[in-house]
Amino acid sequence: MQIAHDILLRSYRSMRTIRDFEERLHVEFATGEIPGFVHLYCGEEASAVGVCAHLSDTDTIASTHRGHGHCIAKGVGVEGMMAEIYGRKTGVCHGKGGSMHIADLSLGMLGANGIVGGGPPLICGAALSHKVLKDGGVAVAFYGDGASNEGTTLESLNLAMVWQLPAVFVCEDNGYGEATGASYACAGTQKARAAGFGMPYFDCDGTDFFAVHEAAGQAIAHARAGHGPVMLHVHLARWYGHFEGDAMTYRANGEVARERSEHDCLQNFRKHVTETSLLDLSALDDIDSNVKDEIEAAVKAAKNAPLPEPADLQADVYVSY
Amino acid sequence: MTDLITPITMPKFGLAMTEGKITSWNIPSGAQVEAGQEIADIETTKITNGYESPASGTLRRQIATEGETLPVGALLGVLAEPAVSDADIDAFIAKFQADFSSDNAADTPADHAEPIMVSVGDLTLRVQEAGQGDATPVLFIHGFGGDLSNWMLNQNALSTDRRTVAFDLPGHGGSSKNVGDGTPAGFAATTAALLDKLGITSVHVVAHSLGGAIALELAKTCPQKVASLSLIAPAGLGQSINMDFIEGFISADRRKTLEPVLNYLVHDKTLISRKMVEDIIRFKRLDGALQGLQTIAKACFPNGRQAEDLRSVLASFAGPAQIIWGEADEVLSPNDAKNLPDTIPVTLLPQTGHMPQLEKAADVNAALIKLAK
Repeated sequence: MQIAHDILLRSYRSMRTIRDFEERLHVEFATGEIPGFVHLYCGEEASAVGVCAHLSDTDTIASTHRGHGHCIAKGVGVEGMMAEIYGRKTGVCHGKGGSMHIADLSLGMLGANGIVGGGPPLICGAALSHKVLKDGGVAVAFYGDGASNEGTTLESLNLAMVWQLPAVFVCEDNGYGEATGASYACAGTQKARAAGFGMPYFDCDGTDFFAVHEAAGQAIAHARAGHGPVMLHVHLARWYGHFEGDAMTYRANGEVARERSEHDCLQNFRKHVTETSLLDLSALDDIDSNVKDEIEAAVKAAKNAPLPEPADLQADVYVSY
Repeated sequence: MTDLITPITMPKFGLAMTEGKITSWNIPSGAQVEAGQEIADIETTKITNGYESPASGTLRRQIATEGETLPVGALLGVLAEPAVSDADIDAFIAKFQADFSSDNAADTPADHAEPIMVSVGDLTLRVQEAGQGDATPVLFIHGFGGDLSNWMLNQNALSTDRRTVAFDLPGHGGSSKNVGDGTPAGFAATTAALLDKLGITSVHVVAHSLGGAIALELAKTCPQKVASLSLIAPAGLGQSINMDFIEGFISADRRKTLEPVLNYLVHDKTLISRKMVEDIIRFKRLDGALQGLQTIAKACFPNGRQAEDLRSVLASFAGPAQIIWGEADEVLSPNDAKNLPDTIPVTLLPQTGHMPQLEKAADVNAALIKLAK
């Protein structure tokens, strides 16, 4: 599939933004200044970006505890995200959500989610709404191999199929549910699970943007055309621990180093576009430098932003219809 | 110059880490390090992990020593380029340490200090201190099955101009489980030894329930240590006691069975929170906790009656004294406060159970402050 020039540039920028955002959080979290818990998406950037390249603001996504990448790929601004993670009033959820509850409904980003397997049921609701309203939208759930064993996920696969919803189940399989290997914890295969529900199945190398873009394009087109839900199984690797501070004693010696050197989606993207003469490297270097400044500014702004006040406590608690 | 200096600080791992131990430095002072290089191993209560350097540079100083436990954010070392002078680094360290210690002090005012463990003879007692000042200190003695948290609504109110001490009696809370003979006289001897250990010669004693009997024993044996007596629903002034409470407290091992027992303690039953019930169940499951309670109950309330009559001690006590009691007390009867000398004021609180210091904290605090003036 030929990818438009501007989509290539925008996708690279998203992946670079996710990488730098997460690398910076890795350092900042260790200082103890950030409240709560953060889970980093480094190494998995191509998945969120390759999928979201096919989505617009009228499509909806539900994310996971490892949600920063999905937010950025769906277009949530890094300044508001960084402030949110720092718990500041200027954050996208006014500092009351934090890393695991970043949401921006105006962009169809239903939220990161502290509950493993929490996203799939949400997108069944969103997909039902797309179907009933006939707005042409699709709903996408990102979930991990760990969440693939949750009842909520399996029930959602069933319900989406029964109702023929425009839903896309993106299983981001990084091989570990927290510290437990998927090879141990997941019975059967994701492919066979999809088949069990009669659901079309696609899979791809999640460290290769072009592979994800291709497979996601087919999967999303299927759902958008009204042919029912699909599963997209993305094989990838996370570079940092399950959470920040995880000593990762469950990973083999050299495993992460090999992923970083051989399966870096950004390096592979640069290699691919030069080999095929799709883009000029200097354009990518410019993006790298712009993103660096943007992240620096976001951290500075977040650190200097005001905290929520007691008076803010009851704001946004109830929704009026 | 400070832009060229990077502090290496105790990292935060995971959700709840507040402090960590530096188990080893992986590089010597003076070595060159790269950003992301693991420069030290840090151990927490949950995890041991390598600490990645946040920046590249020369490790100019190792401030923390191996084996040292420090709070998150504390200075472990300093990275800087060789061009930075030693004097600049010293100045940076001095400023960092000054800022860090004042930030920490602001976070933990004395009122919220953690309890400390104090050795008294063979026993270790958990002690919560608060306040400072010249006025005579206040000592809080809790009752059967209680602990120092019984005074959570009172201790700070009395700590504005003086030192105050609450502690867990032996067999209770975080103190040693050995209750000795379990008599008020035995606990009074331990209490006197604790005061000696803390260097306190004289205190206003505030005591609740069985603690009241302990306070009276203390006044009998060490009158010079007792500046005044504020007895809240005290034992030792009558014979009857609600044995359903005592026996139920000892035998209940689940929330369902303990909750109705704890309901005896208060007039407003909604005050018995789930957390309170669970905390008590957790305490009772500690080794020796149950045996301690049984020993005390046997020594203090044999045959369903209070063993000790200490009315004469109160009547002959030379200092000021007062009684505070809830009218709706279901454990000890406020009738026990009748027929005491006129010099001892009795405050009866309406619609209040056995724990006025929790249920009517403001009224109780006002009375305590008045007597301690």
